[in-house]
Amino acid sequence: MNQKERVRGVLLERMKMGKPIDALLNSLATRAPSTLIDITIGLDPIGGEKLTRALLPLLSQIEMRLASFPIAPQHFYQRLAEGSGEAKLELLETVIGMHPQEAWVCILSQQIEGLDAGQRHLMAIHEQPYFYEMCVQYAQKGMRNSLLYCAKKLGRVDPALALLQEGTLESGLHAGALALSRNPSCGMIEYLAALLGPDIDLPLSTMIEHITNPKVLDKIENLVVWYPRAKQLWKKQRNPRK
Amino acid sequence: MALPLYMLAQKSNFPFTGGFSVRVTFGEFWVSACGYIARETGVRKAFLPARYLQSTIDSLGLEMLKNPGVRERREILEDLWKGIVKIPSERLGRNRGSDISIVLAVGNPEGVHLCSSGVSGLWGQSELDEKWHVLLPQRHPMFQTDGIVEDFPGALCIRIAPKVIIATAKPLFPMLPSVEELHSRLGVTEL
Repeated sequence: MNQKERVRGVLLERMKMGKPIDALLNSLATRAPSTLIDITIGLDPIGGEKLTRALLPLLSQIEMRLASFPIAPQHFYQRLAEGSGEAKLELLETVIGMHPQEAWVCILSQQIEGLDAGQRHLMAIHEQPYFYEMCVQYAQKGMRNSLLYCAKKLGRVDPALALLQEGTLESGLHAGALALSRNPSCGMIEYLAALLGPDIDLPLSTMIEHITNPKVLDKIENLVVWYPRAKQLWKKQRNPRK
Repeated sequence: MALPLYMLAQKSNFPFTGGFSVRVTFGEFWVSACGYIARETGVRKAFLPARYLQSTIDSLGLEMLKNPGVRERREILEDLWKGIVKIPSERLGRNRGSDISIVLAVGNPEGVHLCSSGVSGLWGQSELDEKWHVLLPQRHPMFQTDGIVEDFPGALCIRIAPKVIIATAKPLFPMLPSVEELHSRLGVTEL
C-alpha cells in the first residue's frame, strides 16, 4: 500500500466514524498537496459534502499548488463540484469570493445552479465595476433567470442591457421593466434609446406592459410622453378600469 | 416618401446617446432630420434634450408642410431652422445646443434642400449604381457651421435626390466605414 492509499484509507475511516478531518486535510495541503488533489479530484475521488466543506478553508492553499500539476482552477472546481452533493452551493459561494471577476465562474455557476446560474455570482458582485461585463457573460450563456432576478432585486439597468446587447429583446425588455419597477429612476428608458435608437416606441410599449404599479408609472411619465404608442399604453396601465 | 437620413457619431457602447431622428411627409413634400445633441453629457442627460428637439422638429415640420401657403423647399427649411433657433437653450442640455450635430432636409419630387451644423462630412447613395458619393468637399463652408446659429447656415440644393444620405458628426473624421460596419453602427440591416 503506497502513501496515497494509506492516507485515503485513514481519511475514509475518519469520515465513516464521523471524526473531524480538518487537521488531516490541513496537513496534507501543506505536506502532500498532490495526494490531497488526487483524492479530491483524481480518478477515484472520495467526494461527499463533508469533504468539500472541510476543503473550503484550504482552497487558496490548494490553488497555489495546482499550477505545478498542471490543473487550471476552473477544472479543479468543476471536478470537485461534481462530488460535492449538498455542499456545492457553499463551494460556489467560496469560489465566487475568491474569483469574483473570472469568467469561468459563470461555467461553474451553470454547473451548480443550473437554470438559475448567475444568481449568487451577480448578487455578490453588483457593486463592482465589472458587474455589467459579468451580466453579459450570463446573457451570452442564455441565463435569463438570474438576470431577471438581479434586475428585480437591484433595480439596475445592467442585466437588461446585457440581455438587449445579446439580442434577447423580449427578456431584455422584461428585465428593464423589473428594474424600473424596483427603481423608477434607474435610467432604463434613457439607456434603451441610447442602445436601440431614437424610435423606441414599440420596445418601450412592451416594457410598459410589464409595469402595473401606479407610483412607478407616474415617475416615468415624463420619459414616456415622447412616444405615442407607449403613451397610450401608459394611460391604459395607469387607469386600467377606464 | 421622406429621404432616409443617418448620422455616424464616435463609437460608443451606447451608440444612439443623444440621437434624434425625424421623418415627416405631407402631400408631395417631406421633412427629414437626424443627429445628436448633448452626446458628451452622457446617456441620461442627453435623453430629454434629444426628445425635445425631435418632437419640436416633428411638429414644426408637419405644421409647415400642412401650410398651403408654403411651397418652396428652401423656405420650409429656413422656417424649420428658425423654429430650432427659438427653442429655449436650457432645453437643449448642459451645453445649450452648442454640441449639436444635425442634418435637416426638405424635399419633394423635384429635389432636396438640406442644411447642417456640427457635421464633418456628407454622402449620398446613388439610386442608379448604389455607390456612395461625397455630396460636398471636405473644406466646404457648410462644415464650418457649429451649434444653433441664429442666421440660417445656408442650404445645399440637390436636384436628383440620393436614395439615402449619411453624415458624420463632428469630431468624427469624415470617412465612411465598410458597409457591414455602417449597418452595425447605424442599427440597420440594409441601406
